[in-house]
Amino acid sequence: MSTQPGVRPDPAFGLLELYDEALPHVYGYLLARCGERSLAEDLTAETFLAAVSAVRKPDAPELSIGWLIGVARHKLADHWRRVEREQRGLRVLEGDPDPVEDPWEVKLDAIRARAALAELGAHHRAALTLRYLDGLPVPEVAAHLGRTVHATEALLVRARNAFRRVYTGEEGRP
Amino acid sequence: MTDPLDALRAPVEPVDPDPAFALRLRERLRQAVLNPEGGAMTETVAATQDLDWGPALSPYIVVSDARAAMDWYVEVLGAKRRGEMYINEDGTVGHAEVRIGDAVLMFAEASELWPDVPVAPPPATPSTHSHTLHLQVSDVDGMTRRAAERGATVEREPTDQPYGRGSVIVDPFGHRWMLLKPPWRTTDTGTATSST
Repeated sequence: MSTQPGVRPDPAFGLLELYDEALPHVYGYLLARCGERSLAEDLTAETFLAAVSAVRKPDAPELSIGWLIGVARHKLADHWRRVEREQRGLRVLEGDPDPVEDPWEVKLDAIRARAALAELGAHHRAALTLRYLDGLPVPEVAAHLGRTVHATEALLVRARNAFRRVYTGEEGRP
Repeated sequence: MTDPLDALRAPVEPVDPDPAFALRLRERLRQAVLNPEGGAMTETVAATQDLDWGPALSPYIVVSDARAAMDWYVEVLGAKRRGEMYINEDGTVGHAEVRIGDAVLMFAEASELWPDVPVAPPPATPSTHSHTLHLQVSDVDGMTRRAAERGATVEREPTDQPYGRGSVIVDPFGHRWMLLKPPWRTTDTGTATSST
């Protein structure tokens, strides 16, 4: 038993009321981005449970599905950071100078694009998902990934290059 | 140049998850909302005190009958009710709180709904206590007498000590209180006063 606010209604109760309506949105958001049912379920659970304490903070915004999607986005970014730490030993160092990007004019096939995205490393997948699937501006992508804007711009260029190599078949399946 | 990856933009499309998963998560969420100790609380203590919320440290005690305790603390200790009691689905009191002077006392009943929460009220006549609720009052003798009339055990009658005039009682719910009027206190401001 920790504090149930006595002087104002507990905003966490609103979560229970919103649960049925919000669940398919949160789950749908996560499933489309991680593509794996069990992972989407885990992250959905993390999202709702984290929302209980987040919504009780004094400066918490109004409870809404949009806000819950924001919590889900944080959980997704956290997940990819965990995976990235695990993969770090396996991938090429990123300490080299800023990469150069060739212009690329192509109309992407959505299904192939999703498949290509799924083959990328967690750091590239995270950057591209937040930037393109979610449509976040670069500074917000940077905030989610815990990187500077400059490092995030460089990461996005590398991620686009990696995506392009996979998409165009320059790189075989691992 | 347009960015071909802009085509990846994916608005949120609702997908119904496995109903069994939805049910399990609903139950976990309910437990987390109603019973925060069972949930994954990773909050740190706020660095600055929220004055609307209460003091930084408040006793949170378990009593066998929170409704009776509420009446007793209001009538004997001069406590003021703070907010509404939270009632669990099984009728037990999940949370109640009162203001006493500038402090907040929180209390609740144990419930079989939360078998994993390791709390229990004290026995009816405890032989030892792990803690004492120390309360500054303006009239030690009067409050001690009223407490005894309302079922408290007087462990130590009011006596004058170098640190003030004080007594020790054990309330009817098994909680030990030290009632003290510090020697320098000549007015009643900020201390608990009985409403009876």
